[in-house]
Amino acid sequence: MLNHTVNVNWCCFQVKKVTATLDLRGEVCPLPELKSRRMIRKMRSGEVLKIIIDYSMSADRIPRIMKSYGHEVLSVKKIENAVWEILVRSK
Amino acid sequence: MIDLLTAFPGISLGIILGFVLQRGRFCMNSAFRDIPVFKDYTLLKAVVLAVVFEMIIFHLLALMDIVSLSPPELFWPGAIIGGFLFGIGMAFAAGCASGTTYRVGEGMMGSLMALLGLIIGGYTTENGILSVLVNNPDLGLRSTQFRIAAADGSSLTLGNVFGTSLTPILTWGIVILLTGASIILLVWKAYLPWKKKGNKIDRNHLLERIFKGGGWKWWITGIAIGLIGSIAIICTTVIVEMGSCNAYPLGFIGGWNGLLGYIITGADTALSWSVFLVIGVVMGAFIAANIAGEFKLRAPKDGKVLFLQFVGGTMMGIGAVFAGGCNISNTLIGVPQLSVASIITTIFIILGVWVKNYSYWLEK
Repeated sequence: MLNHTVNVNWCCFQVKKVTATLDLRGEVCPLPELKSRRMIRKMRSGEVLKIIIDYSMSADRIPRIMKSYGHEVLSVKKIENAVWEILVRSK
Repeated sequence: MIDLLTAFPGISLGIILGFVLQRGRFCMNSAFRDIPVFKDYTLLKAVVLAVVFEMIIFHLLALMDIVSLSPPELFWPGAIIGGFLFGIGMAFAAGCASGTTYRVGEGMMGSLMALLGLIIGGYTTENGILSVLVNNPDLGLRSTQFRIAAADGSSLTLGNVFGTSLTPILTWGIVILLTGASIILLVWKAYLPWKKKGNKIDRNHLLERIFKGGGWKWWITGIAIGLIGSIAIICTTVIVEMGSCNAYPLGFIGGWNGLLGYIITGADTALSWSVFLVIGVVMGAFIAANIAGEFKLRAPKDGKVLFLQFVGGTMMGIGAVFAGGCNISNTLIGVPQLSVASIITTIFIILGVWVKNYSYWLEK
């Protein structure tokens, strides 16, 4: 029962947390970075952007660039072979 | 018959280079573009570190008579037009010669298209219908009338630009000045902030950091590339001295042209050091990407991007032959030898990248 409650809370938290998702698989350099930048600039402070990419270089560079613009990088996860998920909270 | 003394070290060093390029995400297109577009200097720092590292090692090795330097010759229209065309091309291709090659090893079909363009553009300009643009005695971009050499007829470098009598003083002056400035910057801007944050090298996870996880730190990539360039110049000096064949330490366009030449003609003489090197780079990147779980056959979702990558690759191939080499042979091997041709080519490659990315640059 306890586990069930925890899971439900976690799910709700997840749903609430991600405000927008950008699926940038199949985009090449520098579009993953540019499209992420364009999107986060439209978002309000505290909103969370989920970015999905399959471009290895962007898995390092998007978090670096987002940090340099003052946004908070919540996580960078490899979710499958050559696919990454990045969560960024807008400043 | 394949010359094993060229093939074995060429493929071996190529595999190591491909591994380092993939793990270090080393691409000069990104390094140069990120300066104005994202104000990000991470990859640029890796490039500069590799160049400075090679500069000091190359000149020390030459001083000890272990290697002979061979700075690229200056044909000024070739360097300017070729560099600019190469820069625009690599921005369309989404990768420089090395970036495109290592991404083929990662399974990226867009980069494979760019590579095919690079090979076709390079081969037709070197040996085919476009070679007239390079070799025509009157207007060819690399005809002898456009050659600018030092007073003694050798390749023009920053060391001999004011006459050969000043060469040792100027050469060592520049090398020591740039090395000193780089060490100060490295300690001041990188090491001290890193130390201040309380960072330490995590020896327990060192192997995991080398083979898996995100890309390497810029300074590790820079030093690794510099070391590979230094080993390459020793290898090619030995190969040339043994009379095996002409060999340039690191260069991708010569390698791919040679491979296509071998495929078309079947002549073993086309199999130079550079051919084995580029084959090794794809293999090394493939191995690195597989270990890191980053290999996957994938293509751009927009067919237009695939086409533009091919066009960009073709422009790179043509530009590289105009300029007498790609970004690796000019920026990474020519600039450390203080070659004026490579410095001019690099400047125009950077300008080409910036012009193509101008609209992104203006985005607010």
